[in-house]
Amino acid sequence: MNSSVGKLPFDAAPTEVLMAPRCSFDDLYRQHFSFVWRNLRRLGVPPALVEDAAQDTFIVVHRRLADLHSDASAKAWLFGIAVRVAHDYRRTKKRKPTVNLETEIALSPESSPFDKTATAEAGRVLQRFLGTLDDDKRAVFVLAEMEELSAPEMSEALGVGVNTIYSRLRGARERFVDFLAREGGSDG
Amino acid sequence: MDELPPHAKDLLSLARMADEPPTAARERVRHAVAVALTAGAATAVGTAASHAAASGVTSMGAKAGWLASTAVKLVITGGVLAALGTTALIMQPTRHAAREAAPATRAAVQSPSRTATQTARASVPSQPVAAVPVVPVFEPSQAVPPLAPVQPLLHAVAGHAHRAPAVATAVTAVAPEPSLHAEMTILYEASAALDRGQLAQARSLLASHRTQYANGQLSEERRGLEVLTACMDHRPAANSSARVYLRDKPDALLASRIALACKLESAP
Repeated sequence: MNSSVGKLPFDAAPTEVLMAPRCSFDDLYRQHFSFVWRNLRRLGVPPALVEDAAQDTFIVVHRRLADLHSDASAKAWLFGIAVRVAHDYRRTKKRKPTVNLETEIALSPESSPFDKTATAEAGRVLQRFLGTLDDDKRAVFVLAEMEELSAPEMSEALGVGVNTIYSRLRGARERFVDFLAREGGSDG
Repeated sequence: MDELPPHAKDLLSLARMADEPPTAARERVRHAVAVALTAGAATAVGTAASHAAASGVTSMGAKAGWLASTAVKLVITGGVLAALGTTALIMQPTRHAAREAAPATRAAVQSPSRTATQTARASVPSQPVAAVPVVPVFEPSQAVPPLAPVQPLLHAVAGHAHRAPAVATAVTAVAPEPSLHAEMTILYEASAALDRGQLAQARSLLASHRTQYANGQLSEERRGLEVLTACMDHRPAANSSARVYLRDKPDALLASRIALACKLESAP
């Protein structure tokens, strides 16, 4: 069990959270469920465990809702939680998968087979690349290139300085271009 | 490198779509979180109450109640005696129990033909139970069609990315959300009232939930708390209600506590 996750206040009084005036859990869930889901996957949670990891993430969110200040970026705060949950899941891949998500892809019903195939392949390429990065570069790359967060937001989410963010992002981008060249994806 | 080249950006545009969650997952996770949070509050309540009922203790302070709930929980979860004394370890089984409950929900969603009767046949206690109408455990919110296997097509990805603003198709329709937050608040308060031994207060809150959310998302959790309350209150019909509940919901998080509180011989 990841110690950092274990330190989270799971035993916080739920009523204190529920009464938090600034932010509604429902609102956070509605607005950011997709954000949490896709980034858990990008942070290395195996597909079959993303649903469980999302559940755990939002349980932590519920417990810690009072910590979300109105002037903070909800995405940055959520990502910080997701990073810790994902870290926990990557270390415990032996957990029993509960649902086969390979059969569920959230493309619109109108998507053509070509769209689905191309999208799925792009997702696999991205996952392979992210798997080559260390945790620090992966988090910055995901936030910058996939979620388009600003440098200050990334700094808040990851708890490091802006200069460090830029340095990691530069390195991750270079590795991505090299990776695509090796994979043969740059000749289209 | 200050910016990615166009072909890399194109691939990332497509990859964003692949990471979107299935619509059904949104509902499943929301329900699982609600169940986990509600059960997390109710677990200590139910276990402490069950222990009190089993041992004949009529009044118990918060400290003694917590210790009793810890002891009973540890017996239930395999007798990990070394875990005594930490709040974290009482919460951990609760989280795992919730995780175990979530797959049951998912399984029911993915197998709409599975009814309470079928579930009960697999794990119903040996005692006879009263005949009650059979209802589906969970109705599927929507069918998820299977997707054909995909083939590696990296070159096609690179070409495809230039031909359409594909990101727009990644948007998944989101249904308006009922007030799950409000439901959870009521059930939490009901659980807290049970924890304090304030049965009348718990009944009042549960009745309020029933009035406001007769068919709410947490109506099954409310039903479990109602049965638990009845057992703690030694209501005449509590035992039969508990048997029916355990038959309908053998996998419910509250099932073992209800069985203990009602002194039923077989917990699911």
